[in-house]
Amino acid sequence: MKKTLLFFLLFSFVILSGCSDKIEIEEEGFVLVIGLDKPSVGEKGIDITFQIANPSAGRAGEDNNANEVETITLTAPDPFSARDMTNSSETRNINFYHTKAIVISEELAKSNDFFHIMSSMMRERQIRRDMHVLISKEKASEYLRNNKPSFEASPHKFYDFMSRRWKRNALVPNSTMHDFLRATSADAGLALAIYTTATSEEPKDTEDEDNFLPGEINKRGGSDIQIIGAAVFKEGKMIGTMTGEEVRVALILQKEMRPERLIFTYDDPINPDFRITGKATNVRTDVSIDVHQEYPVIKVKQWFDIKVLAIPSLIDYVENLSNQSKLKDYFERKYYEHASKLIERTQKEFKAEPFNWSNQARKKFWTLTEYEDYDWMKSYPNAEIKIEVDVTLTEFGKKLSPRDISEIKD
Amino acid sequence: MIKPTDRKVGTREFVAIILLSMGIKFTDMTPTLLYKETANAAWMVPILSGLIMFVPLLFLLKLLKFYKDKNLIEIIFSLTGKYVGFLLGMCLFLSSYSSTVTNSRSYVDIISTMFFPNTNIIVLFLLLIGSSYYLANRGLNTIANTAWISLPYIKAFMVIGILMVTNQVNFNYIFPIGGYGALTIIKNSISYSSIFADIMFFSVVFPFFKNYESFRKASLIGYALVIFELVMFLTIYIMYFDFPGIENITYPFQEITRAVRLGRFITNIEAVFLGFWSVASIIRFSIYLYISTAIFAYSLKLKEFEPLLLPFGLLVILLGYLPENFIINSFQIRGPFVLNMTSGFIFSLPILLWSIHKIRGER
Repeated sequence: MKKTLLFFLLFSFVILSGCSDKIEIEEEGFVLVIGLDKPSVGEKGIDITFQIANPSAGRAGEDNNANEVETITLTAPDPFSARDMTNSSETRNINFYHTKAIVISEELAKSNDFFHIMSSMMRERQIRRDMHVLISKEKASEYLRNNKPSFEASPHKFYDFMSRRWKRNALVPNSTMHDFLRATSADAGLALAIYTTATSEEPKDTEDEDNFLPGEINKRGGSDIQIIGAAVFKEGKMIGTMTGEEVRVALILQKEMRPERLIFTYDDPINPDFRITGKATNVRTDVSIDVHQEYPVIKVKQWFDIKVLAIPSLIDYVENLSNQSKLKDYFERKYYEHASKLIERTQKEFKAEPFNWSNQARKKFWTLTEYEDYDWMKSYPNAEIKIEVDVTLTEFGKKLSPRDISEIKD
Repeated sequence: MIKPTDRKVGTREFVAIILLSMGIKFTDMTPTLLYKETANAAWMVPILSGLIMFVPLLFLLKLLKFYKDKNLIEIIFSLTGKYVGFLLGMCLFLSSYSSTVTNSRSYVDIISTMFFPNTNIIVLFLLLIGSSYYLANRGLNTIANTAWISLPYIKAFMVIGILMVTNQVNFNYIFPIGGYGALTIIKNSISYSSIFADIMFFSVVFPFFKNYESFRKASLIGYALVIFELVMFLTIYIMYFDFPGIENITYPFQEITRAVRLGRFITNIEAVFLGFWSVASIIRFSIYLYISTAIFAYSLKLKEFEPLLLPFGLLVILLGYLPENFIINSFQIRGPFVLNMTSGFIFSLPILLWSIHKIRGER
């Protein structure tokens, strides 16, 4: 009897010690989105915004008035010390287990401290590398308060669903903390982050469907935010922006991405008063790089499958084969122009590439030392780049050649 | 001392022991140490190290074949005499025991850093070494059977983990393939060859194995599989983190399991891997503890060594608690001291013994 009691006593030491890391789900405040800003008081520290989910909101038997999310902003040295400071008013124990996204104001992203803040956050075990990195034009605290998704009650779902849209339409780079830190520490090219705003600006007057920065789309209703385009980072600091169109071109020029469903419009080649709409799939992109000369010679070839969605000019591109090949050549030329324009911009303005071409270049070197001596970022601006485009017109929808308008007007 | 009925550990059980004790080295800081030294080429180090350690393994197998029923310590004594034998035995003990201590501390640090930050590390240590002691105390057969039973589950989950991150890796990150150059790779392969030194220690309990044939077969199969496994995981790490990035990831395995997601909704499943990984580490440390104690007891020619397991287990906790933090443990003690010092010793011992055996045999 005594032995059994002693055994249970000793065993309870082992079992009970497991309690030091237990958490009670209803005591926890799960931070879904972190926002970072320059400090609103003083010079040092950062303004941290937590969008905290309430796990027990909306559950049967619980207080129905409790909000599903609560947004709290405070000035603190870093996000981790802000946890305890939050408890000066809030009851929940703050954690980052399910943080989906981090929103940073453009002002902070352009400052020198930015990379230090991002990199040092990864020391905390609760921070996960797969959270999305968003850069907001305005203060992150304002952005998070204004982001009220029309269809989703929780920001958690919002970012989960959005990232699936981003993967398809490629209007923003689907970039995570992992991608950002990897690209920055590899020091070979630009890192891209998602660009967004919740304040609408003067709408941009353009015929294009993707050539926007956030806030420029003429849109009413729904939620106030616009997520399109990319913030461009070089050596851990934001140096510029790219429009939705440029992001698309950049992602197509990458070998690995292969965006699947890009709905685009171009001027109709025969009747420029109209636009022609299509859906493109980037089937393959081949990049070959020669590093034997002083400056690299890069050959990029892209393959597209294009489905024609709308021909408002009513010109017969479907059954008329000479028109069809004209359209094909036109698409190839158009795409070539877009790509050359972006490449020129990266070479002259950014002086580094966002296309991950360094992944192809590094194959040509035997040791890391040789590769570092070649310094891809330094040699890229002088690189000679040849682009080839190959378009296949695969579908024209469920209609043959459009009815000739003159016959109707007759 | 050893009855024929004790000789139960067969080929498959021994392979399981090798795979679990040596084949989970990629889950601690070993990969980070290697990547720091050799950059993108770290995955080549296990291949070369494996080849280097293969030489003494062959000599050792030859000796074991000749001496049939004797264990390694008895062979040492009969070849080098009482005093030198004792000295060599103690050196062996020190190298195996020191690696038990530093490795167990390193595993406790992993659990503490990645999973249970608020739990006292003494408690974690007690649980890890306590369970290992419990297992070791039942004898080698129990360890072997436990290893064999749990092997499929542990390895299956490792493979699932790998498969689930393959869509997030980029093959190009292993380039430039040479890292810091061929010379650095060779140099580090030599100094880190003790990653595979554990294989020599099993010969201390050689009489427990079924027969020489199954011991030889299992050693070779297990050895090859372990090298393959290490290379595979090191390549996955570099393909996920890329080179300058991996240098400051303390525990790449644990970090990668956080990226694993089953479909769209099942995320944050690293705890599943923690479960299987803990079982593997308990088996690993029970065999370490068992063998270290055996070396000590055989060197002192004690009749029984099982009663020593408990004090030696407690001593692991006491010594393991000494380093202030994991940096001192892994970079100051385990890296340069334990790994590099034992490399030379373990490499030369079988060759030395075999040459003495040849000279004596011809006399």
